Amino acid sequence: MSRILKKISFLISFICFTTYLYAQNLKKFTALSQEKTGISFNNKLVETAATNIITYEYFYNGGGVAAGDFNNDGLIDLYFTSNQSDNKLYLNKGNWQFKDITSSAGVAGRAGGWKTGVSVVDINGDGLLDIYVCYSGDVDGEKRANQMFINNGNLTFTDKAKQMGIADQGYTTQAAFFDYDKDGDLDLFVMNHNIKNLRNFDAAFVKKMIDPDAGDRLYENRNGVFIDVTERAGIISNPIGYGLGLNIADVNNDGWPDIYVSNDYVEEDYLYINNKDGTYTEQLRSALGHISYFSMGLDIADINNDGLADIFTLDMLPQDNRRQKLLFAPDNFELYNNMVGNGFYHQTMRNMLQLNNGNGTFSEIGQLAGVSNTDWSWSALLADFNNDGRKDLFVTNGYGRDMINRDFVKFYANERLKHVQGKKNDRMFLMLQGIQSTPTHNYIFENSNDYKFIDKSEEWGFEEPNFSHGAIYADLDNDGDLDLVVNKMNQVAGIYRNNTVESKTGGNFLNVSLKSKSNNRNAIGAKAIVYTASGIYCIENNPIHGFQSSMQIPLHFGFPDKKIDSIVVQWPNKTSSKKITSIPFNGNIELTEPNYGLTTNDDKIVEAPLFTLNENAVDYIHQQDSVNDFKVQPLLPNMISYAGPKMAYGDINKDGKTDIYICGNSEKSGALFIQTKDNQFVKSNQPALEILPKTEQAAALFFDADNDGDLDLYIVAGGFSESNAGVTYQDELYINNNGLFELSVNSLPHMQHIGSCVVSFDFDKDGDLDLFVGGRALPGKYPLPAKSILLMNDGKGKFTDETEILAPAFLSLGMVTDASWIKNNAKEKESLVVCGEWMPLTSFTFLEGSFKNNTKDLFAEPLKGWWNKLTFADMDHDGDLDLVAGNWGYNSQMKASDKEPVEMYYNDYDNNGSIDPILTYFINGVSYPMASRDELTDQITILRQKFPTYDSYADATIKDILTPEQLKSSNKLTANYFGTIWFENINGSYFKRELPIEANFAPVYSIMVNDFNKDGNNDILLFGNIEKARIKIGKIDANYGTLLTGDGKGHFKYLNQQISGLALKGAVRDAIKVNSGTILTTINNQAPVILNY
Amino acid sequence: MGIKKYILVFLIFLLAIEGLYAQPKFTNKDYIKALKQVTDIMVNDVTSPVAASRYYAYITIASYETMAAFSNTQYISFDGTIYGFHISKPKELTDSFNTSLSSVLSVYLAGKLFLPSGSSLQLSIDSLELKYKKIDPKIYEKSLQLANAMVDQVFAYSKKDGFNKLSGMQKYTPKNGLGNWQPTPPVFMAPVEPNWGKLKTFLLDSSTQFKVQPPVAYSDNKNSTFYALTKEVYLFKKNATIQQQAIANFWDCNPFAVEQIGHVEFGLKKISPGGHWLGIAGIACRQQNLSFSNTVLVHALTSITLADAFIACWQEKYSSDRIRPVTVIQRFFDAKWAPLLQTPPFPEYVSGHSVASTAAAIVLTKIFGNQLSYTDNTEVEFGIPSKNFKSFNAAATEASISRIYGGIHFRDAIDQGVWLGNQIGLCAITKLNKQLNKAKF
Repeated sequence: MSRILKKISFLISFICFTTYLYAQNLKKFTALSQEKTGISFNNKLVETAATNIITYEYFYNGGGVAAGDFNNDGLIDLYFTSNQSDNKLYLNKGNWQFKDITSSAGVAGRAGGWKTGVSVVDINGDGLLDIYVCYSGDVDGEKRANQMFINNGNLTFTDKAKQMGIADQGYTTQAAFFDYDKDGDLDLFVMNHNIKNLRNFDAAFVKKMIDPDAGDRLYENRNGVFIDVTERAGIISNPIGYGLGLNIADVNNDGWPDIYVSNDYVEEDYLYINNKDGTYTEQLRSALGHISYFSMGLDIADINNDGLADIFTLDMLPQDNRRQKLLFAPDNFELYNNMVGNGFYHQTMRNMLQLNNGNGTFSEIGQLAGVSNTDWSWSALLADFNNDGRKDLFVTNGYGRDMINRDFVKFYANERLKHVQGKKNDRMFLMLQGIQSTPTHNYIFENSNDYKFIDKSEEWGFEEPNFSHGAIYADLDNDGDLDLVVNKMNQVAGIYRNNTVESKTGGNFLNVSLKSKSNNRNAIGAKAIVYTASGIYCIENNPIHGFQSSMQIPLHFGFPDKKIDSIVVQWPNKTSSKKITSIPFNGNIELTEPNYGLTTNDDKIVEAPLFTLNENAVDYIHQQDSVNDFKVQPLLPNMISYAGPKMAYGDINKDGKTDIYICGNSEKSGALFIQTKDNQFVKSNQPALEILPKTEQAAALFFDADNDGDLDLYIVAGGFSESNAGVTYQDELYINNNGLFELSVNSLPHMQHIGSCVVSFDFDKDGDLDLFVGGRALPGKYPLPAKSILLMNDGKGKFTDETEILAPAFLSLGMVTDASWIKNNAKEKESLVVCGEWMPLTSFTFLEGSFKNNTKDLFAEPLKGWWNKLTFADMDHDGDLDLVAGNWGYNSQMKASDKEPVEMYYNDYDNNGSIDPILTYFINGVSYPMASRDELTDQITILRQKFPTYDSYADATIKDILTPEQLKSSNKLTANYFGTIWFENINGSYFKRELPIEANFAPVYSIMVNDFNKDGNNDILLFGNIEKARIKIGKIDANYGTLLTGDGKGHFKYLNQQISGLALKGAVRDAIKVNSGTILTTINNQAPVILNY
Repeated sequence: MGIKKYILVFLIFLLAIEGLYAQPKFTNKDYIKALKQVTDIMVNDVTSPVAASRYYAYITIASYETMAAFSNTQYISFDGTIYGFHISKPKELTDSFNTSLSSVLSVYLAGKLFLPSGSSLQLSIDSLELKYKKIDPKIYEKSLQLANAMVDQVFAYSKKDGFNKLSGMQKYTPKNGLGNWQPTPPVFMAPVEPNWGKLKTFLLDSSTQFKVQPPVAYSDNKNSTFYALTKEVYLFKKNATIQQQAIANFWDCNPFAVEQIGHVEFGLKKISPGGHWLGIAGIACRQQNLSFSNTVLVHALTSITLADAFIACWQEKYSSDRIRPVTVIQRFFDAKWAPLLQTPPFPEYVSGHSVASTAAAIVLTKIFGNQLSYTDNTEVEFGIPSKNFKSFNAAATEASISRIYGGIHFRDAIDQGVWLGNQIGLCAITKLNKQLNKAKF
């Protein structure tokens, strides 16, 4: 056959093949039937009065899957655990044919035992994979003993758990084999849970207890016999650990295996860092800002190809509005404070994606990534399903009955119990039968750029609703893409063929098998990194992922490139790594651990970070704890309080050094710090400033009020909750009297407003400094804005309120948060630029005797956001002032756009004198209220009649809540843009320019512009976070100080935290450059931190 | 002819037969039944004890005023008796209506207006209409008009009591003092109606007309009175007899005790203390074969007194803001301690059940005397057997002490609660003497 013919025939067959695929309407995954595969496994659950969700609370947790080549024929075989029936072992015969060999193999498991997780491992280093099966359930100890099925080599297995000392009788969810002490054999971590629910307990006491059945355990392998080293190794083994998720990974990138345990209920997850001496230290709190509440399965993998292990934990937050409204309990601040006060950690009910910053901190960006809501979820698997180099995400989910349905809790259970007869157990059982059962579809997300995971559930073939639990990925047909296997409840297991390679819709691949001559035969714990032109691709060889499942399979790499540069393997054997350069392409490679001493150390170059942090430089700790704005107005989206401490700065004593005033509040007075010659901050004795303020000091400004050549201090009264104590809000002016600040009682008019910021300017060009004071929100009347005020200086430091005459537009300007007086163009006059919550950036110029709105001249498009901060600087070397503006960001449930804005309807709907603010935002294309039924009907009591049940409210939109007349007379605010961005100044007008996605990890409250990396171009440094949010929103704390380096042409690049050295924790509220190379930041409820660069 | 038509014909036939018995007769049972429907809705809605007492007051006032509007001088309007309350009979209506029908209708109409799930009462109105309209449409319409006119006036009056301002008021934040109330296990619910004491009272001059002694001061000193009070509650749980446990359960009256089993969590509901005492009032009315009208009066007097009792009690609860026994006992004696009854979500001092029960018993004793023994079966539907009492006072005394048995109150909160209930009860019967004296029981 000639070449041309060959080509033609190839073309024809290709066309035929693709037509064939399209004819089948082929999605990325195809579910294969039981008839096709021969896999009939079904985790069938039989509920009885004696065995059900009430007698055993993990009744609906489902079974697991294991994948491995048990007969070394090159095909991956499958093992399923069944809670009540026999486990099943299926031999892969090729061509998607599987054969059930359970009974001949002897791996059905113990009758009468409740089987849970499964771990596949070559425990004895004989080259044959063995199976460790976990047991739990409300049964006797002997029936709960875990089993170790040792592979005899002829496809028969023998349970040797007892001889080996690992017939653990705890209530086990999952177990992991790994070499924790790097002695060349595999040790064992057994994750257990309690089957009793502890409610009334002394947390400090119980946390330290050791529970033989419920506590987790670590076993050290000593020549094939396992010794319990739990306590000695520092493993927590208390009765309140409800372990559901277990992963082993090198989280801190030091080459040693760390452990993550995700715990259900109030006990927080555990992150054990390996101390390299046979012990662990639990370090969750120092690494993570907040975590999932009812943590379930998890996965750890590198999602952004930076070589670092990221952590993804699952929870139960539904995606759609209806189920959120039906299942979500209303915010209970007392309960949350009780949890944190008792020594438990910050936990919110949703999936958390913890991005590893490489410096011991993690940025939680699950909502920005779009993976926070997948309903009641079990297994998370991060793997590259489309061979494009980025690890995608597969999630199984579904819970047997909607136990937390609010209508069930409040109405249904009691009603049904009233009507059923019999003994307590029987009545409970009968009641249970009536609880709704809602199957949900699995989720699969495509990892796109900028940490965005795109929901492809339907497009990729996972639209079928079911109850699914353990799952694995493996290339079952050796075609170069990862197939999926799912263990389902009361349904035949799902076998999903990946069509990526067949349909040529993905990139290229390489499967890497790692082998070792040690007893850790499959080199568990090794890390392989593939280098290509497009980047690095990193996978750690750990068989345990997701939920109750494991896979001992070759590491699967996808990548967009046509060529691999090299592979580096960091073997478990200490630091050895090896570069391999002649690599087959789109195929398999087997690498064997070299002998000790032959290898090179890895060539990590540790650069000195750009910034160093000093947390003890200023002797002041900000305190603010007692106010809770939600008690004033329960439907507020966010608190107005906790916006400080802000600072004022200036050279008070004219020694050429910048001094600072840190604002106080009703719990802690502010303080003036004088900077000495050697850059120390020394507290100045200022009796007038040390009187405890009645309100939060929202902002402060040093300026020369009385034209005497020194700096006086203006303080803005702000806050929200203090209004209830009958406090009036009055700004204050302190006159500098030879360094002593004294309150000037008659200098300011009676103000009675709630401010946020202050700017000095000489708008009338009379040689003295006048003031603009921004107005925030009216307590109890949010979102009505407090008035902003124009104060005119008589030249001697006496101010009059000229707002009504000279600037009437300031009276209802909006809820202002920041302002700047700038000259943005050589020709134009100065402008006052103002930003705020629900406001577009707005500007005014003083013209013909009054302030005129000139927004249209400055801002091309109205971007209404929740803006916090404005900073003007030249970002692109063109000599004019550009603008960087801090906003709410993209890391929350609320996303805003023109098409799908976040809105606020408000009025006094029930005529009781208080404003009822109803916030709405879009979920799946429809705008729904944020408030739960109870929250809304507590605010507007008459609505209880309209929404007597949760179901009646579950689909309600604003049109259902308000009557047409109410809707018509409603006031409305809109937000259509939440991005922190910069604006390029082009001939005096500002044009929107986006910043790297990292700028939007959290709300931004403070912005510094400077040439931090000394390359001659201005860089941007962003600070922020919120910690006192609605419980439903939770902490947003993914910003540890975000440095964006500029190229002088208006392009910015995120510099990772390892290199920048930034690791600021908490809610940063202000930052000031106090010296060349020194920035001082203030943080809510913490001491200031100084950054040197 | 379809089956539906057969049924229709049959129904018409039945109605025709019933139409023969033209004169609708309402007895005390009809009124008690109507109020029970209101109670059932409140139980289902998980209405708090304070809110329930307010609803009962307005609903029974409305039905009393409807009944009394055109009755003989035996029944005196509350106009002028209750603070700020004025009501007038509709002038355009003549006497061609059935006052007892009208009174029952007003229970449903008021329930519909006041209760969150009150709309379901429309079914009862519909069935009354079905039954009585065909007897004499004019009488039915007039009766309905009268009921509506009176209910509307009571509803308008209710708007002035400050209730609709409550949702706009500052929510409660637990204070940090050692002796201050803290949210209680198992679910640490937010405290119920912290501003209820600010509502306008019906008969009392103000919610603070009667001043109780301040609660025994918190102390962890083993020789202190407070320590002894705490130990008493702690030891009661340890040594409680079966009878004492039964007493605690009998008077539990918790509208929403949360049961938690793993992820399974749900509320078990019972009537509120106010609902329980209206149940007792109904039992007494039936036992003494009171007339329909007298029955309406008894329920109105009891309800108004209970409503004031709760306002005064709540005023004290949130001003003294005292800690619950469970919080202290876990602190002093046993971190895992749980009371026999679930602790209701509001401050401890004084005991609401003591105030309400004592006040209600005084009103009922004034009407029925101190010798009426009766069998209380109000809790049977909640799985608690009926219980015999020699008198209302005996019942009130038992209800009060039951809170110590239940582990949810200290003794001084009972003693002072009883004292406060006494003052309120005595004040009520003085203020209500016109209605009490004219009525012939």
